Amino acid sequence: MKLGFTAKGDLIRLMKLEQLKQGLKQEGYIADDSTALILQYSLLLNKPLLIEGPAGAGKTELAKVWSKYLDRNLIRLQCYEGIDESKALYEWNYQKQLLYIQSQSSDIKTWFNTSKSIYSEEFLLERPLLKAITSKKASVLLIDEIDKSDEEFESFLLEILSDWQISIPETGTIVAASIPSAILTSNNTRNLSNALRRRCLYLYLDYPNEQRELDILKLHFPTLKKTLGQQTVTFVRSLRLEKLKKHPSISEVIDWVTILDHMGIEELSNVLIIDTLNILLKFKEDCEKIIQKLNQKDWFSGIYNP
Amino acid sequence: MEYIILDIARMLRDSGIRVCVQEIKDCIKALTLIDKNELDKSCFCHIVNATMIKTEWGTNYILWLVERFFEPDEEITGNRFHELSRQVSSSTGEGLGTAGQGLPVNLMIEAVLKKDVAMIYAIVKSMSLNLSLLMENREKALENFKQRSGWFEVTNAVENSLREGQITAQDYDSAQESLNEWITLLKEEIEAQLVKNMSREYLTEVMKKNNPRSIKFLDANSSQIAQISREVEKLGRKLAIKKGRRWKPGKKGRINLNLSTKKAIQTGGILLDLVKMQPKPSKPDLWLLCDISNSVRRFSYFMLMFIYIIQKRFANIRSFIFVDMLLEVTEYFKEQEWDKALNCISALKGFNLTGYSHYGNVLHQFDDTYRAHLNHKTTVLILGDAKNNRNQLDGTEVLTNIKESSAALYWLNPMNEDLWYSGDCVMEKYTKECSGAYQCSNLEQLERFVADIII
Repeated sequence: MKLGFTAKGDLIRLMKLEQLKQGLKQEGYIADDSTALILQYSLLLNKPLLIEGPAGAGKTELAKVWSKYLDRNLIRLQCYEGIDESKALYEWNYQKQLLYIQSQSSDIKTWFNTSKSIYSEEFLLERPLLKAITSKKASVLLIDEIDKSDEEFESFLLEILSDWQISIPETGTIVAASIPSAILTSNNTRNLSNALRRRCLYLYLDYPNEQRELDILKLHFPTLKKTLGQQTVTFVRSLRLEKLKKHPSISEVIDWVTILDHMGIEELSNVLIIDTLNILLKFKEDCEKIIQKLNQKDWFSGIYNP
Repeated sequence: MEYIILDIARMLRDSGIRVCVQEIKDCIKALTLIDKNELDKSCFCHIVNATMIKTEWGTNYILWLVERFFEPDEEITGNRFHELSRQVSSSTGEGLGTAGQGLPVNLMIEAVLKKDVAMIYAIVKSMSLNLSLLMENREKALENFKQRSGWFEVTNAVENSLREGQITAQDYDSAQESLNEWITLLKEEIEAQLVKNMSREYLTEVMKKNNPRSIKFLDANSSQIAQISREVEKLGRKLAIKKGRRWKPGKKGRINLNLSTKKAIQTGGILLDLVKMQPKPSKPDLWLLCDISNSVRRFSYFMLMFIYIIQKRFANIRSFIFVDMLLEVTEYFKEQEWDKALNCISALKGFNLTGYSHYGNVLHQFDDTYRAHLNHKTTVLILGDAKNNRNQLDGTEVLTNIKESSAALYWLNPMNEDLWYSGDCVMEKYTKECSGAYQCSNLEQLERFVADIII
């Protein structure tokens, strides 16, 4: 059985992908083929995109850059343990409703009108999800760190992610004025429900390989010395292969290189790494572990002369 | 294309991956959006993973399937094969033969010493090794392929070179790595041919084995163990954040009218603030007894890891290990990271006197020392294969007491249920005394147990 893959078509696809990758690069993000491809399809299929991967691999940044590339507003919902619809979707301004009721006559006949008007738009506090679907101009909706929220919240998202509508008991169903490009990110700390996964396209975003990380550094530091850049990515790669409580994220690597750049460093050295290690590593145990390794002669030289 | 996607979806379902109709629709829709000329293998695999499998390992998984079943990979061998053919023709004046005839031994030795894996791959692929249709035993097939591909000849040549001092010890180690790589290539070739010979049923079976969710804990290789560990870790976290059925006043949640009215009295009857109730996280009260004798050690490893993760969050989790004696390791786990703790667990003393499991001793010891501390909220989990090594004392008599003193007593056994009633396994007796006994040999079964019973 043949699928009919062709090498010729690859080039044409690359050209289109290349265009997208180039656009993202101009906004400050270097994406690989699979990332660009799946972003493209999430937009074409109007499907939310679930991005999983380790913390600091560039998931949130991708959403930010995607919104810039599409020239759309970014609406961000940061998830946390215990988040519910009042923080994500809408909330009735209870105190304002109370004041309104008190300001009205206590006549029973006016109750019907009062009860209708306190559930009007004036008393509705819009939260990110509602804002995203009521916006006339399509936006990019970022639901960040969905794995930190509870399972109930995941279920609550199902309606909006599949039908692009929200049911508010007091007012009825609100259908999206425009369909946002939704991106959900997860640090993969717990399994998300199958129902949520079913509604999304999926992308696993790992830490970049050495070449891509070097490209990222070059993008941020066009005058970066070749030796320093190569040494930095090799060292960071070896840190990520170690068992640490927290591996250095891309933004931390950029911070580190900013400092090195500021100091006018052209080449890494053992002492320099030890002095600046706490920019990359944020746990005392991790720092101690790496300093111990750095003091072993072979480990250090092995990284630079593999 | 639709037919192929449906076929792949069926195979994925057979191998234990859930794929719904909507996901198949998405996949087909995405593929129809691509011009046929634009479709390549990597793009295809990314789309199938993004729409149907949706896991970290999904792209490689589908790549594996595509290469085996739909289109064997010729990209890597293509150019190298021609290069190789040229080299062989110029050295022997012949093309590449099969079944050990005309083997380019010198070229192979050179490739092994240079650790040129691509060249070895090209050589193996170009030999057109064919597996007999009746050959099902992998070990025999591997020996046969090793013989026919010249592996033994090259190994002997490398050994001789070391003895005669033509190569250094370092070169020898490097050559050994190449030879191991060669074996891996042959195994892959056998697997691919078995798939071709035995078709779909075999493929499904192999796919199941490669699916981290359905692979047995006891059969997993090191990379699969790493994947399973990550999944078990997530399962532990899921349990740790699970909300219970009790409610407490909080900043958000359901409005409690009674409490709100009471509070309104303080402000002259005006409901200035509403009292809301939110679910209170449940506190699992679990005791885990783990058999870590050799037969079930790997399974216990995962369960101890699972318990360790929830133990970090809740105080009411206690863990014990045993072979023929019971040893509490709750504090031991609290003191260090789980990987370090699990790797050093065999250095502990006081749980293994003879090296053979003795469930009778262990259960009696638990009953005497710890039963008094159990309460009606405690769930006791015993993990083990229930192989009592034909000891007369099997502890059945105290299991009832333990069950009565706790909320529930569950037994998890990694062995197939068919084997529970044979040999020295006394599971039949234990099953009667427990609240439930379950087979738990892979991640899927563990997840189901946690979801149905513990949560």
